[in-house]
Parts: sequence; structure tokens; C-alpha cells
Amino acid sequence: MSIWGTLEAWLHRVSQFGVDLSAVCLALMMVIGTADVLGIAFLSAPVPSATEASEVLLAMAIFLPLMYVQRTHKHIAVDQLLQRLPFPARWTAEAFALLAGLLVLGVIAWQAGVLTVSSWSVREYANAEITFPLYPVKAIVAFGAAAATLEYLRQLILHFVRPHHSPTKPNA
Amino acid sequence: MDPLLAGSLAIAVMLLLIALGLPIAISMALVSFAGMYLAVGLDFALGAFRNLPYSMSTQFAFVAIPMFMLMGAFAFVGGVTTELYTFAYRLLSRFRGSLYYATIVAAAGFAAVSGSSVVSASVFTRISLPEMIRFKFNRGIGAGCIAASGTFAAMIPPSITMVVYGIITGESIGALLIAGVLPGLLTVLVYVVGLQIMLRFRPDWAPPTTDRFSWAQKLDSFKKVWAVSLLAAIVIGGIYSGIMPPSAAGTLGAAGALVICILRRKMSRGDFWKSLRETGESSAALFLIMIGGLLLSRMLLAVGFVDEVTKLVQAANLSPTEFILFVILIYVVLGMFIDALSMLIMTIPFIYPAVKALAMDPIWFGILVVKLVEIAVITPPVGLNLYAVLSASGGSVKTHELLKGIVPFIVFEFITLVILWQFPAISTYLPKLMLG
Repeated sequence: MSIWGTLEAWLHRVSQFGVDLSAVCLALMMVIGTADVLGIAFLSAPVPSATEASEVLLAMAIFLPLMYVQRTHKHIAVDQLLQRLPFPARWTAEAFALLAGLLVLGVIAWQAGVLTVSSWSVREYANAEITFPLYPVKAIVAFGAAAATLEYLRQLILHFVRPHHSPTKPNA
Repeated sequence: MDPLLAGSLAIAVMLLLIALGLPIAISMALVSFAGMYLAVGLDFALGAFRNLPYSMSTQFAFVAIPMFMLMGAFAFVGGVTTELYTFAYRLLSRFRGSLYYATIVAAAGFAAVSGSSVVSASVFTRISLPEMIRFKFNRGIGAGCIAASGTFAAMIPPSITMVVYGIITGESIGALLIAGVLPGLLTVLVYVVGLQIMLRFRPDWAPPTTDRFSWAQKLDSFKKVWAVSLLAAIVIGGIYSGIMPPSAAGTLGAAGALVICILRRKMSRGDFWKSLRETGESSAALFLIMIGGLLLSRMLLAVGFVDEVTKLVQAANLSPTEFILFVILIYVVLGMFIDALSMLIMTIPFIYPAVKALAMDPIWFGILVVKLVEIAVITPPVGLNLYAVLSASGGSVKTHELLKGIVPFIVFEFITLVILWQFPAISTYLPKLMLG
């Protein structure tokens, strides 16, 4: 297998892993939230740190699938005008869209990285009954955004290498 | 640069980028970054991109969105839609147009456990459209009825649209969700009455059906829906009574739907993970748009656009009526081309300050906006529910039939909108009771 092929397979696995981990986070949110509601209602005993745990799980559940969402073209866009443009204009618009996505997600990933480093440097912990470190969560958020940035980069490279292969079609 | 000009320019560029096919979230974020950089400086722009995405995605109140999605996904897997439809049809089979009414009532019932109008539209296309075709109902009206009934999910709690409006505006999500109950029921009533009137003039649209059901059969179908009805009542009642915040109600609703599926042996392990994965993907796409929307709000605030709009609205002596007409115009035009929820997220940052400046009730205004969002999802050419019906129909309905058939329902929606506009108490009565 070529280097590009290996890289493709690896990126595919990373995107799948992100969605799978997001699913686990959602399942945990559901279990913790329900246990908390029932604990309060029937035992007058909430699950300790349930709110804080749900908050960090939400962040991970949102950021981890971003790469897969871009890979499968599930971002919402309006493409009526795009489809009517002649090929060179459409190609340019698509390249610009990928570049814009690369920049935006890149900045989010970079700044999430900065947030992680500053959180790590002060050993930031959640202000909760059962305390836990926040920097791993911030690192996961940065990872999710960085993975999505990589996917934009992959699609941008493909857009230049295979100019007739539209990135608006799934699995480009 | 003049703040008003800067803000207007930013909005115009954003719309241009969207028209050029950039993902809506990326367009909003890109314009926000450029606007903040040019108006305030690089540090401010980077600071907003550093703090806002993380702080937004770690708000407990926003847990409601994926949990409401999950509740709907589980309810769908559990076959709730078919059971609701069977129950509604058995109950209403003796009336002319029974299949239309059954679709409307079942869609309203499904809306009480699901926040997704597209899911509702595609599922009911598979369930009720074949029946409508079997009894020679008008295909266009039938497909239009399904597409339009799907929009109930945006109004009747648990509504994701309401939660998004609450996030962008900072209004009470619980109050907004409860505010949707009466307008949702009003919409159902307007549809039923409107269809009855139409069928008097065009009885050929709904030939009498031959199916008749005994009370035992009706009771039997009710037995299958009581558990889900109870779950919806617990979720909505929990939010209304203040016992549970919407996020907690969402987690309980999702878990309750899962338990119902497991007890009925309708949930395989594969279905379980598939529902979770799809919820994760949809949540990620939606939250990225919301992050874009909040960055846009921050940028418009930073460039001074929001202050200027507020001053302009006050100086123009615009009446609330004129303002609402203006908002309706914007939403109807944008709704033809832009996905409804994205439209809400990108417009609220500059519309909401004017709502505050005019001292309008933000909850009532939220209901009007959600109604406009409902209209947008059934307005061609970018009516998501229309596409959902067309794709789920497998070619049994032609595009021109659906485009004709949806017209009466767009009229019903506008009638409901006018009623909600003229009688704000329909929207504000329950939230006021709830908040004491």
C-alpha cells in the first residue's frame, strides 16, 4: 500500500474512532443524567459531580465526531448556486470552502491547544464534589478539532490532485 | 468604519460565502474572525476562538440537544411512529380524510418524543403515504400533509429549535419549551379544521376508507402507545413543574425510550450504537453551527453593530407590527434558500437586539420565529421536509405533485402565525404559569 493509502486508512480509522468515542460519551451522559434525576427524586441523593461530568462529556461528544462529519460531508451548506456554476468557478469555490474550513478549524484547534497547555500548567481541576482534571478534556477537544483540520487538509490536497473529483460528493 | 456599515458588510459577506457553498458554520466563523480582527485586533479574535467554543460546549443546559435527539432516535427504533399512527387511524377511520387526520395526530404525538421534523416527515412518508395511495387519496395533498405535519416537532416540546433559540438569546430554555405546547396544539387544530373545510369543496381528495375498527381494536392500539405517552408526559411535565431542567428531562427521556425499546425487544445492540453514533454526528454538525452563530454574535457586538441597530430601531420609531412584518419577510425569503435551523442561528444575533429594543416579549417572539422556521422547512426550493418526503416516497410522489400539495399547508401555517401574532397569550400563558 502506498504512503497515501496508508495515511488514508489511518485517517479513516481516526474518524471512526472519534464517532465511536462520541457515542460512548453520549451513553455515559444518559446514564449519569438519569441516575442523577432518579437519585434526587427517590433517594434525595444526587449523583456527585453529575452536572460537571455531563458538561465535559458533552464537549467530547461534540468535538470528537467533527472529522467524521467533514469526511462524510454532513456539514450543512447551500449548494444550489454552486451546482449551477461552470466547472472552473465551482472548482475554485470548492477549494475556497475547503481552505476556509481548514483555517477555521485550524484556529479552533490551535486555540484549544493553547487552552489545554494553560490548563495543564496550573493543573486545573473541575470545581466539583468529586474533582477531576480538566486538561485531558481540553486536550480531547483540541484533538477533535485538529483531526477535523487534518480532514480538511486531506480533502484540499485531493481537490488539487484530482480536480474533477467533487468534494461535495461523499468520501471524496 | 461605521459600525452599522461594518456589521452589514459582514452579514452580506457571510451570505455571499454561504451562497458560494461554504458550510454555514464555517462561513459564520470565518466572517466573525475577520470582523473581530479588523475591528478590535488579533488577540481579541483569538481569545474568542479560544474560549467560546469550549465554554459553549461545556454548558449543562445544552446537554438537552443531544439527549432530545437521542430520545427521538430510540423512539423511532422502538417503532413508536407506527404505533402512534395505528392508534390515530383506528380512532379516526370513520371520518372522511381519516388518513390525513391520522397522520397529523400521530405526527403531533411523535413530536412529543422527538425534536426532529425531518425524521418525522421521512418516517410518516413510509407509514402513511402507501395507505393514502391505496385508498386513492390525493398524493400531493397526502405528501404535503406528511411534510407539514413533520414540522410539529419544531414547536411541540422537546423541540431542538426552541433549545437553540434559547442558547443564542439566553432566554429560559424551559420556558421556551413549555411555550410551544399551546401553539403546537393550535397548529394541529388549524390543520384539522382547514382540511375539513377543503374536503367539503374537494371530496375527491379523500375518498371514504373501508377500514372500520371495533372498540376492542382501538383499545388494543392504545395499549401500545400508553408507555410512550407517559414518557412524553413525564418529560414535558417535569420541565413545566420545574422538577427537572430540560437537560435532565432529556436524559431521562432518552433512557426511558431506551427502556421501552428493550422491554419490547425492539432494540438490538447494533441499533443502540447506530442511534448513538448518528446522534453524535448530528450534534457535532449542529453545535459547530451554534459556535459559528455565537462567534457572529460576539463579532457584531464587538464592532458596535448591536448598539447601532438598537439605536436605529429606537430612532426609526418602528412599531412592533412593522418589525414583525420585516422579520417575516426576511425569514420567508431566506427560508427558501437556507436550512431553517441555520437561518435561525445566523439571524437571531442581529434580530434579537431589536426585539429587546422594542420591548417585545422574547418568549412570544421565539414562538413566532419557530413558526417561521416551520414554514421555511416546507417552502421550496430548500424545504428539508419536502426532500425528506420525496426521498422516502421512493418515487411514488412526483415533485410537482408535492409542490402543489404543500400549498394549503403553507396557508394553514400562515393562518396559525397570524393567530399567534395577534394573541400572544397563547404563547405566554403556560410559561407565565410555570414561572409563577
